[in-house]
Amino acid sequence: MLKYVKGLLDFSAFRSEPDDPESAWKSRFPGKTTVLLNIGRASLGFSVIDPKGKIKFSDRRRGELRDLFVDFLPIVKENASDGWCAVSLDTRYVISIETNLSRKPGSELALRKDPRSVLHGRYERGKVYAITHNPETNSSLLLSYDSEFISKTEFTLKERGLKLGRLMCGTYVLLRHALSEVNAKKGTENPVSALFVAICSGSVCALLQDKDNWVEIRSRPDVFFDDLQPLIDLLSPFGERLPPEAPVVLVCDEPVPDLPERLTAAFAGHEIKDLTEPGLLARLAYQR
Amino acid sequence: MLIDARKIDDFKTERKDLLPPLPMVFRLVPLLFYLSIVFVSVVGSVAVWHSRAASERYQSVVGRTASLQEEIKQIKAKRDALDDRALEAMDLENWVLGSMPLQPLVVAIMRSIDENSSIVDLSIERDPETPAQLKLALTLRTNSDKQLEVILEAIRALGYRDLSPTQSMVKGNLEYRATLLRDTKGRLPSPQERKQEISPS
Repeated sequence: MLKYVKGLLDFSAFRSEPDDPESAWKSRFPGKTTVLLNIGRASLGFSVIDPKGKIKFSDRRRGELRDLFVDFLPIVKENASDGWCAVSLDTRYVISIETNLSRKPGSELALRKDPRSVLHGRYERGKVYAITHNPETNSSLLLSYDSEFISKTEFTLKERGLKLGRLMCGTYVLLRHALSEVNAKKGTENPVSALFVAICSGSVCALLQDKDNWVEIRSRPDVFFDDLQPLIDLLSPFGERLPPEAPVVLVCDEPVPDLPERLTAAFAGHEIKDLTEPGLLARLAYQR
Repeated sequence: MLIDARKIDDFKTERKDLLPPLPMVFRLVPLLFYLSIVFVSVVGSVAVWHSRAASERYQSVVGRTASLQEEIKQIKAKRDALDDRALEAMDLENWVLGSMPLQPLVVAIMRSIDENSSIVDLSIERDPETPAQLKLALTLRTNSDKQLEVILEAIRALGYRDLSPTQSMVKGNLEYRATLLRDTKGRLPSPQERKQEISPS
């Protein structure tokens, strides 16, 4: 009862609860400094986001997650409002192209509550899913995580005194952002062809779109850290299948030095549309 | 093609105890609460301020009243003293006024005393019940039997008659008592005449 009265008097009862994933980050933590954690398989990064959604400072290191948590935890706790943080989990995920998935009203909610009813035979036990439909074709992007891994991540953060405000796949968020930026006109009159390359904390997802059709996808967590060659090797096969004059749309959570130049060299004759900007993932996480 | 990416898919374990935010119109409740606190604070402060001011005024009035009462007491004491003095003055005036008709009598008695005699005691009292009568008590030390006659002659010359005279010797002194009655048939002397009688020739 006291909690509700307190919430009423400090006006927090009129805002979304910090734990409510359906609400935008900025409406849950107005005027507060928060932290975005990027968790990879062998890397950990953090970005301190100020009340206006800008990054104050950030760091990313490679090593054992356990040791990295010990190093970063004091800074994260100091800057996270009441320990609330957003997490981009860029490992142990799978993004695939699926076809003929149900698009009935409420199917996205059903995907979370009862994924079997939407995915049918493609459902795997112990997985959680997110989906992005291609409005012009019957294909969809399907992101899946091990629910056990998510529970483990939540437990790990809770054990360290952190509260999980948002758990997302940064690569998937950036890929959707790139898709929405390029595919901004409704209808099929101007079909778009492009190679979308989303990179977040060393994880890469490349989606080839040919005249609005999603043709091929390659998604690999923890592809690179400093050396860009593994990334170029992963993307090179798309060069043959990329339609002439189709651009390469690049979107990274943070600018990666030399990457646009390397892509220009790897995809000669194709325009490189770089949507990357400093603190992009943090901005998207803050606004949405 | 239009892709909508306004929402971020969240993979947190589902929270079951989440409450939706309250409607904005309910903000009036805490706003009114805070406004009432501000109002009560302001009114309370003003009331306390007024109370203090009233208390100070009351204390000053009490102090002033005490000082005025002290002043009144002093003035009353002065007035009492003045009244006493006025009363004394009035008594003196009354005595002077009252004794004025007797002064010629006293002067006549004094002048009639010769060198070998002296007055030991003299009293002249007017009887309040019969103001026309004067009670004379005179004690003389004298060797002469005629001295008393001389005095009585002087008294009679002023128009007084002596009634019920008594005469006795006490411790060698001649004590004479009588009731003097003014002869009302005779003309009463005017104040000017009395003044002339009193003043030495």
